Amino acid sequence: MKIVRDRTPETQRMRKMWSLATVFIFLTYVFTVVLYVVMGNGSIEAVYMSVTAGLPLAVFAVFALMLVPQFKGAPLVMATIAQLAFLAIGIYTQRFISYFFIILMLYSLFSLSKLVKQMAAFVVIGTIINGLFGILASYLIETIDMYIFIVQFLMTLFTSVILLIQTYNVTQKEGRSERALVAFSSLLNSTPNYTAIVDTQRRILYISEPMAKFSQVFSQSLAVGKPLLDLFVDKKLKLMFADIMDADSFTEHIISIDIDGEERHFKVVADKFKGDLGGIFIDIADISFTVKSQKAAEEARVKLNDAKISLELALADAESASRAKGEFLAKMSHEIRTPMNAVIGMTELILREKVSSRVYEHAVTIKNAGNNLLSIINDILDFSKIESGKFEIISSKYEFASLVNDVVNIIRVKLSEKALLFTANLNSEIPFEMIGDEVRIRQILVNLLSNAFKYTNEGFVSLTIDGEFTDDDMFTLEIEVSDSGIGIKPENIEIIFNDYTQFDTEKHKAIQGTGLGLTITKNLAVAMGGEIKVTSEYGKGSTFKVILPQKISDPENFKKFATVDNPAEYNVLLYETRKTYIDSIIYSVENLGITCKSVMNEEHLMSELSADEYTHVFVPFLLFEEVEKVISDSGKSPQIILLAEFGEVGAKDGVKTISMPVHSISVANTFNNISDSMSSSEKNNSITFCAPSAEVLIVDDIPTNLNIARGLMAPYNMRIDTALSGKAAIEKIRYKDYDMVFMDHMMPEMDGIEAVKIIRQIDGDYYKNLPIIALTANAVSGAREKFKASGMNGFLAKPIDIGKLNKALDKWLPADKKESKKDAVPVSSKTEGEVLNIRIDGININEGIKSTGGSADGYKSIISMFSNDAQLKISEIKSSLSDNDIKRYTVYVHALKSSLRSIGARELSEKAAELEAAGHSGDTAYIGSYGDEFTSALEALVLNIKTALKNDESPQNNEFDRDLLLKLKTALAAVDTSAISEMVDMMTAQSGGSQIEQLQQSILMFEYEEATSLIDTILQSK
Amino acid sequence: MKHFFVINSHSFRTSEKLKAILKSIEDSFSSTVEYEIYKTRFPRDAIAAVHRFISRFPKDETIRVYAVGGDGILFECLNGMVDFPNAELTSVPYGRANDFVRAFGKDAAASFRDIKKLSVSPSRPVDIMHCGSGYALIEVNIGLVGKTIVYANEVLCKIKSEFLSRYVSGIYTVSALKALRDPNLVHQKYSVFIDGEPLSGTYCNIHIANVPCDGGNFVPSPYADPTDGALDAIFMTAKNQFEVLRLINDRNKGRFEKHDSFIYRKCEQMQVKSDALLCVQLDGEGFYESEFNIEIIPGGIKFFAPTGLDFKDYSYMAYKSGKGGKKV
Repeated sequence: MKIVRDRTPETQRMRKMWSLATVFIFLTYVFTVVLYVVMGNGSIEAVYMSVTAGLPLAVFAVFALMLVPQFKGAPLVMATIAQLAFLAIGIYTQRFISYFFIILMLYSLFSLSKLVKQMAAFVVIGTIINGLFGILASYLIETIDMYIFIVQFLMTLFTSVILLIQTYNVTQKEGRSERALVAFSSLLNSTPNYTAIVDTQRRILYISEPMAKFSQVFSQSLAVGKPLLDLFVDKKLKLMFADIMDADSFTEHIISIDIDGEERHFKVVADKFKGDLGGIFIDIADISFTVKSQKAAEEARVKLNDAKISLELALADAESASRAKGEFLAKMSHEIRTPMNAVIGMTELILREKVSSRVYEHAVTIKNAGNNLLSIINDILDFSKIESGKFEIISSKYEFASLVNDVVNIIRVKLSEKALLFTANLNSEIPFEMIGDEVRIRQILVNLLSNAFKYTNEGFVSLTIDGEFTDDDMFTLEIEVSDSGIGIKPENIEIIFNDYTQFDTEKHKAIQGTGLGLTITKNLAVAMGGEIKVTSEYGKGSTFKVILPQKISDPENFKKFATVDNPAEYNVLLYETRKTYIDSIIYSVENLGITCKSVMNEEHLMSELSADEYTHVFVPFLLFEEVEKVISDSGKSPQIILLAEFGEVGAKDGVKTISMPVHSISVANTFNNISDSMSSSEKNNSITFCAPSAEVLIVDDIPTNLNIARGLMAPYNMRIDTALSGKAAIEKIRYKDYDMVFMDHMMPEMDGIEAVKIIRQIDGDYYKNLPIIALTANAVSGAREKFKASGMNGFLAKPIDIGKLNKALDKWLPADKKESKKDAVPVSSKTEGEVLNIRIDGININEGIKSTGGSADGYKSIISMFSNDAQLKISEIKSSLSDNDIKRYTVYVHALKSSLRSIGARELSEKAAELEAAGHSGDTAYIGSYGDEFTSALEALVLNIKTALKNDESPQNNEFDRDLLLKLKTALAAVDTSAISEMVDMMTAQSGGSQIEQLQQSILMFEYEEATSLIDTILQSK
Repeated sequence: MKHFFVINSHSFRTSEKLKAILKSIEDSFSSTVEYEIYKTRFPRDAIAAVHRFISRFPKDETIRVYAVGGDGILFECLNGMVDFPNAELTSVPYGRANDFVRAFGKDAAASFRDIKKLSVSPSRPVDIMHCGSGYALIEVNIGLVGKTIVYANEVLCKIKSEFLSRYVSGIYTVSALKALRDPNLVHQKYSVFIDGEPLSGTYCNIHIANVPCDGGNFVPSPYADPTDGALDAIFMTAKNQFEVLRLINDRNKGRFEKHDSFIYRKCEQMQVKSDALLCVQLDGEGFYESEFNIEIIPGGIKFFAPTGLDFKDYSYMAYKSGKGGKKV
């Protein structure tokens, strides 16, 4: 690469020196010529030599200097030529050498400067040699004046030395420059950027190799001298670069060019050279990748933004869907529970009616199926809630004893289905009151225990609740449910908590269930901060363990959930043959700090009674008489506590009973004189008081629900009004003082919440304090808080649980309006043997009344209940006989034995006892001989009971709403069929006797005139 | 109508001449006429300047571009305005050769310098040549003449002295001699396609013309007509450098038909390739190419010339010697 017109100051100085040296040499030459002409006296030879040898060459050198300005060595050449001229003049005999030099110089004019430098060096050396030779020659040739020659020689030598030095400097500089240029050129060629250097006229001085390729120039050198714009074919590029080169200072442009169909992007940077250099440096970098990346990044950003927007929309949709799902769940919960309420409630009412045994059986089946269905529906709704994230744990204070009691009582009922031993081992150290979700804990326990009962055919189901204090205010419950059931295979243990999972479904086809129970249980446990584990041995049984951390309600005033005052004063002797029960009862008793010992037969019993002082003897219900005799014989008088299995009803005079399973609570209650006389289910369903003067309003838009609620509350003998809407309820409340209101939640036009808000806003303390209980099928999370916020005092979930109903009535009815059942003067109370107009073959009524508490009404209730239960037992007995399941058969006849005795069917009870004994001893022959006879006799007894009860028409059964009849009469006159239909539905909730039945028949046949006159007759008779 | 004067600064070495031109322009227009003057700063500056100027106005506004200088500035103005159908071009000849103006006659230059008359003169469509990266008006030479121009331009662009500019023709002569030294140029093989037909061969020069004149006083293509919609192509062959010297005079004067060494064609497009570099001269600009394609664009621009002036028929030059020659 050449840099033409090097205009650095240094080069300028050298040029000046060269020029001066050239001029000096030339003048010297001229002086010499003149000198020689003068001294040679105009010698033609001298003139000829000087003219022919020197002058033309000098002129030629001048011409060359001007014609070939690029040729930097021109001054040098000229100086050299001048020297040759001197040589020619001084040593003419060596003319040929001069000519040789001349030829060489001529050639050097067209050669590279490097060669000229070499030639210059060569000439200088030659000058010296020739000069020396000239000096020598002067000695030989007299015509030559040596002094002049010496002067010439010295001047030439001097000039030559200077030129040599300068040449050397220039050579060095040029070498450095050239090396730098080569390096720079290599650098520019090696970078991918397109580089160009243009002069002040925008003509190319240099382009890099990539630039040459880019602009499709054949070679870099060919582009030199061209206008830069000529490199570009594209007009747009030409104009762009024209703008770039117009800039006075640093400029940067981004340009886009379509190359071979692909859009490419370039960054063009241009700047002027500093100082005197002039020209512009242009660098073009291909930033297509960067631009594409930026575009891709921008597109990605846009896509991300779009995705974000989509996500936000999707989130909004999801939230909307979740809300919709929540609303759907709530609605479904309501929609499903409402008819279920009707099914179960109505079935309950049917069961209370005097119906044929067949109808009764069907009703029981419906009720059980309804309960099962409700349970399944609850599971599904719970599962849906869990899946949709609507599931919440609502923590509040709860009494642990109450919770466990409820669970035990619920599960205890299942003992009637299978002959299993159910034990409950509860550590009395557990805090009395804790904070947690009582409902969900109950659900966990019920799920696990139900499963255990479901999958266990023989043996036991055991509930163990223990725990430990994990902090000052935290107690971790450890709940264990063990069974001797079918167990779980090892490979199934991992997946047992998965959704919809059931194992060996073919094998256990009879076992009902959705497979959601354990999943829900696990989710509940985890939601409460706990966990659930399972251990199992296939074919032997399983143990489910749930850990639930609970907050202690009042750590400062900590109280155990079961305590006995002065436990050291008590000493218990347990008479029990079944090991499972022995261990559990001893644990429960000793857990309370009371000593306990067990015996398994009468001999041991006797010996223990003789040996030690026992304050209490725990005896199975059926062994009471035997034990009583033994105790009497022993001369000791410990208090007998009967351990009653499910179905073993009937209190003994002055004898306390603990319902099985015995646990710390029931033991503590007994020692603390809290009655546990009746069976749990009976206790739950027991009506502990009546309130004949209480005024109660039930509000529901569905007449069926009104009938059900009215029917469920009928045993309380309250005065019950109904309303079909919130508006009607408000009207009724304004004009009549009620003691309590049951308000349905979801009603058209005005729902319960709205109605309550309006009621609360009415002036007067009565309206503000009136107890209003929500009846709701919508038992979803937040319901309680919503009702409370609206002004309601509480809520009852539909289907209405009778125990909870009792609790609510007990809580909210004024105390002065409540009368205990025993103290109550029933509307038609009957004393022993007086007005009880029923005769039942096989039953000593008086004995029965006496055994069941002395109340005729109570007795009737009990025998009614007995007849229902016995009817179930008959089919179970038959089934156990046909299955040859003596064990099961024995359990059933055992249960019947005590209940038969309770109701006064002593003879049949004794037969049951005999069959029980045969069962225990394995005397299948006896059972085979007398079993059928017993079953037939039992069937007959049940029929007799039902018939007797049906025929009994007590006046209170014919109580009906006078107002309702008047309204019905008005509706009949107006032929208001919808009102007529509603009121007929309401009448069916009441038992109105034959007249009401007749009235209903007339209405059904559209004989409204007949119905109207019947109404008049009925009203006149009241 | 707008008027845009583009002045090649190099054409006016003395400030007095430039001032005179500017005064002439100023005097040619009344105060109501919009005109603008632009002095180029470097080669190809006019292309962007013309393009920018015309772009400022709507497409229905007629813009007259005056290339003040020689054929070089005319070439640049052409390339700047070729995209604009509303633009018209003319030359105010102050250059060395002004070959396009000479196409109107040897003495046409004076008329073209009358800016006042020029500004109101009619325009007519004129053919242009599209080649490579741009457009040209006058001619293309590939080969010896191209090389000569390359060499001459290397010297000429350095000459700033008014005195030395008088000896331009000497420079061209020396350059020609210099070019002639290369025997490869004399016997360069070309692959040529004319309107799709091959005409490959060994030529020392290929001359493609739109107008008859070139070189300032030569008429190598006497039959060329810038309105005929065709290119005139003359292929010159020579056995050696001496034959070139022998033929060059007739070539320059348009008497190519006297010799069998010339092949003459009219065409619309041509492709030229060679294994060696192509030395190209395009409207006075010299450069190297590896391949050269050219086509005529009939009526490609509007050129306005003084009223009454038309392209001269130089075909007589082919017969000047009276020694025959015929059109092919």
